[in-house]
Amino acid sequence: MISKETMKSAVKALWLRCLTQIPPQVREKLREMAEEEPGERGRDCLKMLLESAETAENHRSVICQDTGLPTFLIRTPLDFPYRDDLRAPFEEAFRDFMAGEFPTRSMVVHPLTGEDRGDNTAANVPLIQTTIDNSLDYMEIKAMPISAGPASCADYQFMPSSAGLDGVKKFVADTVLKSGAKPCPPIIVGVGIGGPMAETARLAFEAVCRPVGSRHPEADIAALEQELLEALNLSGIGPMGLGGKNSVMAVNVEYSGVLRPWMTVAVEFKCWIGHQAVCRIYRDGRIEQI
Amino acid sequence: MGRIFHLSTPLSEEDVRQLAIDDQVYLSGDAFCMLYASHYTMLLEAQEKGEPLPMDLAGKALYNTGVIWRKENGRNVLYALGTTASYKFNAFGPAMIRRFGVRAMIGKGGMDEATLEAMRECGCVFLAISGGATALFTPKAEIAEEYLPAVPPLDNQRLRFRLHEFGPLLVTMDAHGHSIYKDAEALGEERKKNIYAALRIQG
Repeated sequence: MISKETMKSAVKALWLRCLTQIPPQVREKLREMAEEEPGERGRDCLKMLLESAETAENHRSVICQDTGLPTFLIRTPLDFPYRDDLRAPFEEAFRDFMAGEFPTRSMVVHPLTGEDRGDNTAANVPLIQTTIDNSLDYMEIKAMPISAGPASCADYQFMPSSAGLDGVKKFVADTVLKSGAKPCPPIIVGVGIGGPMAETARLAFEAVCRPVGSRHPEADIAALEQELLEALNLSGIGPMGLGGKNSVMAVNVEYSGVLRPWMTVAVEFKCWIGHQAVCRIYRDGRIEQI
Repeated sequence: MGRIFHLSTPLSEEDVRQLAIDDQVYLSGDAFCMLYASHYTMLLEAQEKGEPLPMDLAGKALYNTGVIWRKENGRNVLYALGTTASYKFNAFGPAMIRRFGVRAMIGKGGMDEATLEAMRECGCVFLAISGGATALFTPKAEIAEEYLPAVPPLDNQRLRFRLHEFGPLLVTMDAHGHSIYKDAEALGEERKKNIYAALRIQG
């Protein structure tokens, strides 16, 4: 049986990793971009971002002072041997951080009263989304802070089905152009297509969480991702909105079925840090940070 | 590549008028944390009521940042300071420059045309830091004091920083009406056309 303490220690290590380290695929992509960015302003900026990430990792300090709204995606088999309260280890981990283990800024409040518990927890926060996956022999937890800048640029649109793929492309282009410097480019763009709003938004979120450099398994969707990526990098927004060629690091697309008369699309953003980390908890209590 | 300047507060009008887009500044001296709209409104409202301000802002810098810090054994220990988007405070930019003589706005993403006009008129610049450059900039600043007492747990960010060669800060809006953000906006329509063409869609 997996104990609450095991879960909590896994969550703590995971959260610290996602605040202090950038994913290796993001680092690789930023290096490529820094090599090929034609303008000096953008190139200097990209080099500084890489240096900042490296310094944060070496000093075990946060990459950005915006430590975001704590969010966790769990994939687990139905018979995973954890029987305690699922939220408890997450909430307790954040209380321990704020009690002194790893102080951050309390950024999460009650939406109407402004009440601040002072520990980055609130109603339903940390956000925890659980998916049952019986093909797994372990529980996988993916952690990410939802940062204020990029998440504020996210958007959803409902259209008639006649809007078609062109309507989707236009909405993605307009939403990214409108975002400008706000989401801290070069950004990761997640596009959700289909479903009613809750599903479209979930898809966009799932897409933005997919590793940089991954491609959708279906060739048509993979081609759409590439087409959007190339087109959006004509925006001239550039690193940090300072102008330049490299505005978008990746465009990932996910879709679900939609009602015949509808077309729905949602766009999610992640900043250049691409904050996320993954761990696995095995049935014997072993924790693997990936 | 712009020129490199090492400047200290209080900044004079000449200090900032000499700066041009793409220059890099290493700033020493005082900057005040401006994270929430309330940080601006409480100062502007105090002045309107004729009350004294808790600090002298003339020649100083405002800094749009969120700070991770705590008091430990009576010392202010700074864990992280970064940069937050400055467009959120566009509404206060012109008044802060005209009424208080602020000479530098440190932030990211730039500010609007009304603020740019006040910068041109009075002599003030926007100095940009990249978001997520926290680890590089934190060692170059310390918390001198709280310019107003904290309101726990809602606001412990009323901080005066002592900056030490804090940079490189990129001049992205100068005191002569130039703004790289305005330039980018002007190119927006043309770029939109290029993107639509690449996606084979109609405007």
